[in-house]
Amino acid sequence: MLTILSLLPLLILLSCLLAFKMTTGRAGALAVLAAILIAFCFFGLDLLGLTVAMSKGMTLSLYVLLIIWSAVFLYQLVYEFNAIDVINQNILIFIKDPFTQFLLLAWLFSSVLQGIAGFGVPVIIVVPILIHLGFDPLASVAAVLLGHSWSVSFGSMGSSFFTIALVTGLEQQSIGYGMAIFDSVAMIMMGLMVCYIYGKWEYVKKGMVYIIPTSLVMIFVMLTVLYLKLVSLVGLLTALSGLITMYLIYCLQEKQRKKVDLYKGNLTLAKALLPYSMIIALSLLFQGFNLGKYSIAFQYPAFVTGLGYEVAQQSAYAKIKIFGHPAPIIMLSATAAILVYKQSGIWDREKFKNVLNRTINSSASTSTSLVFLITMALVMMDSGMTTALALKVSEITGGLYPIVAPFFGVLGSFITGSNTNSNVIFGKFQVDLAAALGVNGFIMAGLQSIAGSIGVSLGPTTILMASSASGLTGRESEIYKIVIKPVLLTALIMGILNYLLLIVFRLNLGGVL
Amino acid sequence: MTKKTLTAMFIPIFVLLYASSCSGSIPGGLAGVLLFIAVALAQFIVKR
Repeated sequence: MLTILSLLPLLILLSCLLAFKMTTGRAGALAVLAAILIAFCFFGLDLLGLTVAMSKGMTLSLYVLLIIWSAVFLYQLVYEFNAIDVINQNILIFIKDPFTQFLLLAWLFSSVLQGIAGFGVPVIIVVPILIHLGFDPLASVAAVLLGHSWSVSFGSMGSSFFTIALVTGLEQQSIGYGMAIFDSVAMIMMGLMVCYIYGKWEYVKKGMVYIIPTSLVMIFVMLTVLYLKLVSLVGLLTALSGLITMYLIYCLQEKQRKKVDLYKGNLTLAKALLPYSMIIALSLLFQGFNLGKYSIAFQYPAFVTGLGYEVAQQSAYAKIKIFGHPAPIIMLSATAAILVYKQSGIWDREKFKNVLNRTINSSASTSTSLVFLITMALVMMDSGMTTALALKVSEITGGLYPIVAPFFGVLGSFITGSNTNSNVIFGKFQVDLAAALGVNGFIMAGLQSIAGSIGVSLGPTTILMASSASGLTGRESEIYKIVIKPVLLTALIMGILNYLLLIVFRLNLGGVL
Repeated sequence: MTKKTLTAMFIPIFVLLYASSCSGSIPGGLAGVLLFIAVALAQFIVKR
């Protein structure tokens, strides 16, 4: 009975989104209301427990929303002042071969954008460029949706990554290593899928020349950046290293390195890239100095539910480091960009008003949905609902659960359209299951996050964004048909790998590599 | 009521819930929980 009740908020969310086609905000509202009611009536979560759980949910939402708001603001700023156009045009000057353009833009450039902004930005920017270059709209949409999906979890300055660490309470770096294992599989698979979409098996073979060496470099960079604990930069630097590597391979293949004239719109390439270079520089700088004492954190008391489920005291919950959290770094970089735009004579008050308006408008819906979903997850966690559910699923699937595990991550993103939300809903659940099976929680948490990452390409909001950016509105089912098989295949491969690592080899990860 | 107004409502709710969590205030907690529920229900009447 309690297991069925634990599942109910998730079932409500799923049916509202898929069967009744509600918005994430409305579906999330119903799901959080169900979670509150069930926790209060059946799981013995009293009013004080409910207050603490809901407050924790809002604290966690604040942590993630600060990253989302600042990233959206920066993107709107560089978009409005045409800096993004200068970056795009220069990429096209350097690559002439259509297949290389397609693979580089859909697989790597979209991932670089995901590393910086995320939240649908890669789809909105790259899909129109590909169509403008003459590629088939349906192929362009599918390629970008899949191509950048491996980079979602480490992207957006690490918002999904920070969320999985926060909801599971596990150490960040070790989760990062767990994620890197499965992200390596996802990046190779998605690169091959982009080649397949371009020209079936013939181009899969042709693409190997790029994909294998580029992926090896990216895996190395990913592990190095994780080792240096620059977690908010993993996505950006990994994808950037891939972009550079693939371009170098292209130059070697073409055996030409002519001097080319850079595209210069209203800004030089260096000035257009300034905010992104500053994000990297500031992250490195703040990492180098121990400024962790300047932080904002929240305290929560311990409590026990009516069913005896114990929730520990939190002395520094969702700690926001002033010189470490991505939001202040992004805002400082945005300020530098504004100064450069002023110095270059392209500053316009009206344009800046547009930036602010668009940031607020595009952030409002996301913020509401995120608060509902995170609060639902926290109420489920603090009432013991997630643990009850995890124990039941573990009991049914037994030792085979690691194979099934990635499908939960995919499901979470499919339901909510967000890797962050998928991690919120299933992160703790997966780690609890790992504990119940007596296997490594870091690997399971890593798997959850990357499965959620590839699942984003199936998210209703992402698909809708892609169809509107490509003029394919009303043809969403065709997009789903192309995208769903590669995602499920990759999830299955990750599940088998997870099973081998956790059950067969009993790999242990935690603290240090 | 617009989406932005509803989103802004989360600020006083958060303050109320957090203050009640720290002080253990039942009336404050109740008010916060009820306001949160009201915002969730208001999703169904809000302008898109």
